[in-house]
Amino acid sequence: MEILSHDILIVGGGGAGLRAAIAISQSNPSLKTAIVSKVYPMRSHTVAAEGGSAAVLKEDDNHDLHAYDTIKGSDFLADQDAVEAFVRDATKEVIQIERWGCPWNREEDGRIAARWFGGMSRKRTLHASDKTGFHLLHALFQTSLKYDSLMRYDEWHVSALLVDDGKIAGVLAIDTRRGTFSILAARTVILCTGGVGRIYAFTSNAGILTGDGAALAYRSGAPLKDMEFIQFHPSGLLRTGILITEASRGEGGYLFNKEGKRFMENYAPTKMELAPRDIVSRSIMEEIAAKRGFEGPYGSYVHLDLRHLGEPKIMEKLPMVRELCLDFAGMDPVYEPIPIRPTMHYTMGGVHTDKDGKTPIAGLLAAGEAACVSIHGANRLGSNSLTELLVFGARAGRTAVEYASSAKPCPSERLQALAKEKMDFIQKRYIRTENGTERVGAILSELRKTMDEKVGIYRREEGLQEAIQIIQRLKDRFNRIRLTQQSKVFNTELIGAMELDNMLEVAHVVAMCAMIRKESRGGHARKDFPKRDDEQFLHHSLTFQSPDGPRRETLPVTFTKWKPEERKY
Amino acid sequence: MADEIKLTLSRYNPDKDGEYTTQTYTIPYHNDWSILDALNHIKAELDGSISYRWSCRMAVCGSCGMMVNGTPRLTCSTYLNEFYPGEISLEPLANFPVVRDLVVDISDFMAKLTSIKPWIIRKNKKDEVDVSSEYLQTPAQMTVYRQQSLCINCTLCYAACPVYGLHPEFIGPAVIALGYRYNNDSRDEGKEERRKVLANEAGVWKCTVVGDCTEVCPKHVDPSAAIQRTKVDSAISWFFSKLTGRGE
Amino acid sequence: MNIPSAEVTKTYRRSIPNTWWLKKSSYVLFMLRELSSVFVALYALCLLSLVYAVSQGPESYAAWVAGSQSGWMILLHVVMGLFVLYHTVTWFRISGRIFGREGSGALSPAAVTALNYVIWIVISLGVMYIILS
Ligand SMILES: Cc1cc2nc3c(=O)[nH]c(=O)nc-3n(C[C@H](O)[C@H](O)[C@H](O)COP(=O)(O)OP(=O)(O)OC[C@H]3O[C@@H](n4cnc5c(N)ncnc54)[C@H](O)[C@@H]3O)c2cc1C
Repeated sequence: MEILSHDILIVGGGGAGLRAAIAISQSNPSLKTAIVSKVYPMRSHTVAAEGGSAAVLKEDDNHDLHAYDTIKGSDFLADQDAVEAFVRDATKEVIQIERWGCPWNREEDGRIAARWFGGMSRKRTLHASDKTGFHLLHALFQTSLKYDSLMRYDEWHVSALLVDDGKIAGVLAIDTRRGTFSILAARTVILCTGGVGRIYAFTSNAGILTGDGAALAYRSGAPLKDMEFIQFHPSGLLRTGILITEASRGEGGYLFNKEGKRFMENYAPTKMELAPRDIVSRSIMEEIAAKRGFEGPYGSYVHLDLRHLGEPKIMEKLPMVRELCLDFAGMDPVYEPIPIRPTMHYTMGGVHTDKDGKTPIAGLLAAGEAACVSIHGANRLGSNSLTELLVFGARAGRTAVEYASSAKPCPSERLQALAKEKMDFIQKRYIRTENGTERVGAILSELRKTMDEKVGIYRREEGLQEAIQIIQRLKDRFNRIRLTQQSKVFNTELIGAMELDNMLEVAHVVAMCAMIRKESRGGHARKDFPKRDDEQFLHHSLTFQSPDGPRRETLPVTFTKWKPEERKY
Repeated sequence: MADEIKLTLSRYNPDKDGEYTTQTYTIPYHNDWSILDALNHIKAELDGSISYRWSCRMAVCGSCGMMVNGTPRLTCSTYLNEFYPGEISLEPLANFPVVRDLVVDISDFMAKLTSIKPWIIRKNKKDEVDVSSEYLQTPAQMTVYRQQSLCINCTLCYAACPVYGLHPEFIGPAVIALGYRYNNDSRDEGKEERRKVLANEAGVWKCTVVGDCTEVCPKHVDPSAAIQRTKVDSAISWFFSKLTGRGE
Repeated sequence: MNIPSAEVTKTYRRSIPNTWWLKKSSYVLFMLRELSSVFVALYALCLLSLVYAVSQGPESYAAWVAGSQSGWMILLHVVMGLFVLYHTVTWFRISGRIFGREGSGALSPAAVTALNYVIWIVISLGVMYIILS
């Protein structure tokens, strides 16, 4: 097989991957660095982020406040040393991206402006109207173009990691265009593959977010951390689950139930609509359960009302909200309230890393939504993720430079042997499927439905058990998959099958961790265990792959200054 | 019987016969389905072999552009109900080579994108990494380039531009708009460097002001205006360079 | 930044027929505008010949006037007039887009275009005044 050699390989061209790439190119342009991405980098889902990116920049704010808000938001499951590093670096990173062209909204005097966001005690969410992710991603991508030393494999799909005796050696990837597999050898690999949103049907996530990075690492022996924590965003458009940003509430939008009441009064009287997402999402579900929601052809919902903000403010601060409503809900928020329901949004868990991006596999790093450091713990505060991409993308980049300078490359015979084993597996499992009977589409839609129904905002023991059984059955069915085409060029059916396999693996871990965590904390809410239980569960879950399915261990949370307290808003 | 709608897709597979043909699918009609929903339905239920690009399905990633009944559109935000009960024909974006079915090769666009140097250029390189404070930029200074900063690289404008079709060396609407975006950013000092690419025969002067780039742009970037303004700008600076005797 | 040069797959290139511009009204209008330049040039030649005739004295001017009264010449002038008008209107619209800006403190595209029309009308009135008085 063809071997393409590199020093550092970055899997994923979203915000985290690009930030890492620039960090590497700046600190050591002589390193042979490449980005592999299954879509052109500027198509990565970072592009869809709307509301903003949090960092301490204003006089009335400080790092401790940002750290405390983040930790309280996390329901005290975040590692506090990581959070402290995060908030410190955040300030530098948001200025750095400004210097690379990100058009942050400004005050009249030309300084960067900030807005309110859920769970933040100060105005510290920087934004580029409500197209923050778009501007951030394009600024990073375009800046990355100036580094000649950086190579790109656009529309290559990484299908397996090559690990030699506990050390990363490279990846096996398919060039979608040609349909051929190659070995991309590297001394260091950084996984920046984003979240796992597509395991749910009702989600704000893009089609590409199939948990590849998590599954790749997991199959290679790296543990996944805190996978039970899935964030549901309060405001998804009906039918599609497309996101209406929290900035719409940050800028003053209200939530109303059918009775015309701002129901957040009953759940978070001080923060109201700007309570953290887990709380607002559950409040909406409670309203709906109490029959105080609206009913329509797309199910129950509540109203997000922006009308009182007026057209000028909506056009200045929330133009994308309006575009999305017009294009995808057929209504105009200037004149009508927006019908919304919570939508799966973010994966707090991910590949277990420390605050420098290192995983337990030597030379394998992870950053961005694919990783779990953890700064988000059981619930991420809105606008902390874009900042995370910058901070931990850069940190992982720097770690990679250090590591790659000392690590030895894997000999090519060994690489070939490792790749052959993976290739045989791929051939058998995905390509030579003439005798199969099962279709990708059918398994996928059942998986997504199951996750929505049984591993959603509220979870129960029976539901989770059923979910695990269903997932196991779906995994069995996957063993009998059949692809309708054998051709090579741009075979998206083959890619889809590999993605589905990853999703099944990851969904299994999510459901299992959710079953084992018999408490309610942040984004993980058990109807049968409605209280947080620090005695038994103030720890991270670490899940390893084993022949009998996911094997779960625990890891203590790191505390520095802040003791767990009751989480009230 | 439920309502139905017909979609005719271009098919091309260099691995098979290499012929560029069409195939028609009849699917149930839903008035709230986008064309992308319809394609995903066909792929999941009827024919797993069709290839097309998509990702965000919220009109911001720029992947899913196709010729919809002859006009370049984002299929995620174009709905069946616009055409029903008529039929829909889907072709790969015009003016690009076809890789497979509805997938085109945009590597030419990607190379041109890089050629315009779409990043902040400073005379003093240290400025680029100084994180002690932000550059100041007032809201008024931002409005100058804001519109042209909204391009999602969907390349619909290239599919709409007959000049690009006839003269593939033309750097094209989106790339010029991006050049304009950086040239007009108060933080940038790279206008001279970009002039070589913008103001030559393959640059702005190739444009004959058809104006369709602006018509099809889903983000209202108005590349056409950016091109014409760049023409004025480069004509003026050419004139002054002659006047002062300093060459280009 | 560079991209690895893997040998790529065979693509299909669609050819562009010579009649491409008949496919869409906007393309047809564009071609008409391109064509209008010919008539603008022709109009300019007519004017030049008029100026030349005037410079050669009253007889040649009278001959020029007589010549321009034939049916064909009138038809040509109508056609030229229409094309020049089309050219002018589209140009005014484009110049609005070039010199106009959205946002406060700037002339909007519509205002620039309107200004063009105002200037046009004022100049035309001025010319008419000189001729008629
Ligand atoms: C609608 C929406 C709005 C959001 N708004 C905000 C916000 O306002 N503020 C905030 O802080 N956060 C927000 N978030 C969260 C935030 O945008 C994401 O967490 C973040 O963008 C993830 O970035 P990433 O770089 O980790 O991954 P992504 O940007 O998702 O990129 C993943 C990359 O990995 C590549 N990849 C994946 N698998 C493979 C494979 N097998 N082979 C090769 N390449 C692969 C993809 O091609 C892609 O380039 C939002 C999220 C969504 C969905």
